[in-house]
Amino acid sequence: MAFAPFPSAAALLLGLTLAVLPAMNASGQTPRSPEPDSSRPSPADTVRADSIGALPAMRVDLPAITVEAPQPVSPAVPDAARTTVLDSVAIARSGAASVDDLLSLRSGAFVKQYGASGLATASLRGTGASRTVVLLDGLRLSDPQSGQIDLSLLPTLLIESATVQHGAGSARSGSGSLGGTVRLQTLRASNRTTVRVRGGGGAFGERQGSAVVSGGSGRWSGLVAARRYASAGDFSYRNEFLFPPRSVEREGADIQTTTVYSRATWDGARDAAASAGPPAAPRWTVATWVTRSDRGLPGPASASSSDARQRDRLGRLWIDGTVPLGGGLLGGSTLDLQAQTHLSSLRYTNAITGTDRTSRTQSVDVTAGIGLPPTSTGTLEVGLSGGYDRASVNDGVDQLEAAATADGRLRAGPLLVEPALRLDATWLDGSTTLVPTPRLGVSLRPFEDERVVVKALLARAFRVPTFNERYYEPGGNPDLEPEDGWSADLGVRSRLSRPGWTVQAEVTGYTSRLTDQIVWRPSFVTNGVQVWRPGNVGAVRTWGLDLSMRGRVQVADAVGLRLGAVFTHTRAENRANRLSPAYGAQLPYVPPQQLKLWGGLAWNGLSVDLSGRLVGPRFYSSDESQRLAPYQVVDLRAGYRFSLAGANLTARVQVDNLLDERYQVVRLYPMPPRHVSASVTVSLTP
Amino acid sequence: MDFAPFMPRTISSLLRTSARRLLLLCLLPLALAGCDLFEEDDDESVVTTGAVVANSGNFSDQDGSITVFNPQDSTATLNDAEGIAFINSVTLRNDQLFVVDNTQADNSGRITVLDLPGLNRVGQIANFDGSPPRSLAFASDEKAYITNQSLNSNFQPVPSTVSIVDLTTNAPVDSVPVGSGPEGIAVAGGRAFVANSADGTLSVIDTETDSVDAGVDLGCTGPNEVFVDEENEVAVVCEGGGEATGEVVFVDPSTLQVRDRVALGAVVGSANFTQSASYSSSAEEIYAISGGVFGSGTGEIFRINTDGNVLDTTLQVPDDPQLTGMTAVGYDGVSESLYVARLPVGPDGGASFSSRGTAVLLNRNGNRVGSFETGIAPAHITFLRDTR
Repeated sequence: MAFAPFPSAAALLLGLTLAVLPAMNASGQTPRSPEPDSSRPSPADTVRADSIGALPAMRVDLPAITVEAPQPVSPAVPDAARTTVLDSVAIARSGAASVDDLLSLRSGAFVKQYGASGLATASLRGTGASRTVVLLDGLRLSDPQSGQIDLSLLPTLLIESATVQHGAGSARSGSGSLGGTVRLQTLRASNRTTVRVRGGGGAFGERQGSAVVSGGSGRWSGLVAARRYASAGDFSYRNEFLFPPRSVEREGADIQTTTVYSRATWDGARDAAASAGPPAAPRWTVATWVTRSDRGLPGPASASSSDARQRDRLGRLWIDGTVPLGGGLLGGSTLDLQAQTHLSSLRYTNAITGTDRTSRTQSVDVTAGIGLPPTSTGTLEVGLSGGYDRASVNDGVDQLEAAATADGRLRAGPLLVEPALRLDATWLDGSTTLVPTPRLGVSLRPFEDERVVVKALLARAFRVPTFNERYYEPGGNPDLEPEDGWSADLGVRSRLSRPGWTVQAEVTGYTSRLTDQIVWRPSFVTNGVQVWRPGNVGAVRTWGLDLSMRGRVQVADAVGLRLGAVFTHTRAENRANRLSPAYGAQLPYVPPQQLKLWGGLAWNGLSVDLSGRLVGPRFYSSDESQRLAPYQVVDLRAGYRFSLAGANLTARVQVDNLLDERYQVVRLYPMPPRHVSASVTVSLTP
Repeated sequence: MDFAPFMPRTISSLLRTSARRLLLLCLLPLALAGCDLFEEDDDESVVTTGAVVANSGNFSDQDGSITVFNPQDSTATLNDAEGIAFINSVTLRNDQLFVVDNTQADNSGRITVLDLPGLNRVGQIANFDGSPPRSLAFASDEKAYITNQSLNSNFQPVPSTVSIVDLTTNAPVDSVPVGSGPEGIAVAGGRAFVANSADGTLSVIDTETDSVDAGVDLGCTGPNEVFVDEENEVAVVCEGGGEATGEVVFVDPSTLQVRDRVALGAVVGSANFTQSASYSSSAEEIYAISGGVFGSGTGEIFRINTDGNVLDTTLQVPDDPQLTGMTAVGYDGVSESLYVARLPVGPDGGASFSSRGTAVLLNRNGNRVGSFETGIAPAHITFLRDTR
């Protein structure tokens, strides 16, 4: 391990911890939580307010009550799966502005960033971006042409929670979930009227502004949010390709992004506050998401900056409904319906080459699922889904998909068994591809609580070739088969909670195998002419270890300390051809190790958070002969929340790359040095 | 320069004329007696101190490097050549190595000057044409020409330029329009000859006025490498393509007439689109490779005698299951060693452009006599020589 720079990052966090520990409350008194903890649900008051008001005037000092429970995850995620849940508090405390930053800071995913404003994608367990599914409110977000989504275009402002499921997840997520699945949940509306406005700026021409307005009446609630972000991206970096080497400003790396999100919910149960429980009446939500982005593509640092630009347009409309079913066989069950249409366009221009090319894609998805009434032995969910994709590549191509899913949870004493089976069918060019993806998860709880949970998971996953892989001109290969993968996990999860502290830790070992991997390679066309063309020629074997820990200590009545860590060890070996020097070598851009540490203190309205991430060397040659140096990045964030004239104000200052590390996630794409940003948020709740 | 090892073959050429026969008869007794014509040349001989393999690197990683092989002790040293991006070609001049760097398809690239033998950067020429540079040739100690290859949005070659560089300031001062897909360039008799690979033509630049004063229709497909041989002929290696096979076209630099054509019988090319042929002045031979991968090359190496303008021999690169394609070729006349750079087999069974390659040493019969590891995607071979 080449983790030489690690101590400085760790020392900062360790120092933060040690500075606070002496101040810990030694009286054993149960402290009150100053704010929700991301590792558990918010504390709930179990005494009805109206009953208190009815009592005669008196003073009773009651101890605060903290309800401890495992972090709820999506029902689509098996309990046996390795999962990271980031709720709204964790997202806010991370300081991440976009989903790529969030995953980079708080999950075991490796986020590949082509510079500060370039393409950013996430991969899990050594797979590529197109082998990690990203879902927004349960519906796929990945572009059918490229098979990936630029996570830098997704602001965290509009995300209520993120769930990262590691390992094969096709049994619920369908094509592409070879390395894992990222489930993003958008902000939900409530009947309570709230207005939140935020503005700020920072180094390198960064400017941002956002507003979220939420409210409702009766059965209706709604939310509108908008965010505008711009940056010149003209930070200084040392360019070793110039002679003599010297510091220059990054040119052509500007970005302007606007995102507008809206949501309206009709809840037949009238009482919006009760909507978190099992629905007693239908509930329907319609939402839209529009993003416009315009950015420069500065190219690699080895070259002088080009005039290339990229303009992205994303538009999404989706409907989500939950309908309780009546009597009969399905009595007590619910019907979940979802539908979406997704449009995207990407325009690439380059004045030097005279290129002006626009690619467009369109997707339509419909899903229906029924959660059958729970029995003493478990639950069963069944579902059907259908989809249609179209892309402008090669003068227009399209495909149809359909899938059927059955997902069960069977309990037998301390044992929880989670079998699932999904059958996917894809129709393209008159041919049909059928892929069954089974999954079996087993969890064992030797104790009544969550003290120790032993888990095992075996699952199959697949990936249907993208439109680019099939039809890109030149080189697309219509005869490609889906990639095929299996993964097996074995892990232990433990959660301990005592008055004043909570700690949750998990360790998972895994192995996976990928065959029929699609790889682009030069191929013969005619004498003297070679074209890059994809083929099902790759094979990868991966094994590794995921470790995580989260803890929270109530140091004093008003002082809370939270700490977290994620460590991943990933060995992803090429296993395609014994004659190649790449055989047995680590895949390019798969860091063997990642360590992410974070900690935060909260004292009354003041909060200080520190995040550090250490990413090991990334080979960029296929024979391990060339690699990028490991890097460590530490971000510091301080905020102060106070009230003024009936409004809640929060002032924040953030120092990114506190140690001024000069690093590249991807070779030739320098990342910003130390820089500062600041923001003010005003929240009104009339 | 190297000379002695080729006596047997040069004898046959010398016997063509009566005058040469007479001269030979005069020289033969001296040679047999081992006499020196000039006493001060005692113990002076040309030695090859190094074989330089310039490695392109992987284009997306821009990680070009340089390997120097010492034939005396058969050791190879890889120099990461910091600041080098993607090497298209290199040219030696006055103990300096001029590295032609292709930084991006929409970029002008640059020429980096390295000293020898240290390979330290001592200069840089920021090309300015907006198109990637391919090759470089010197008109004098003060002036050099760089071929630039412009592509349209579909990556098809379009009419391009040649940059004119002032070597006293290492700065480009002007450019000259030439044909499409300019590749190799060579200077002879006050003219620079540019092979336009997409046109099948030769642009001729007057080195006094720096203007294109003529063009030559070569009547071949894919002219690429250009050399000036010992007979002062311009030899253009046409790679072929499509239905056409490779050939070498000899042009009179004065009259611009095609003097000879040597058909090679197979398509010529580098698997890396770099050095598909090289010229050994001491041997008076051109070596051309049919090195493309996935069946676009035959694995043949063609030896063309530029004295007689004939195809001398066709060799077959020795089979090695771990290697594929050929990317560069160079002949060391001193040791009579033929250096052939090859790519490793990739994980997909094709060629790997992101793993270190291999240079294979062959004797004149094409038998493998050695090898050494190169950097990623070896692209160009040249030799360092010294007189001792």
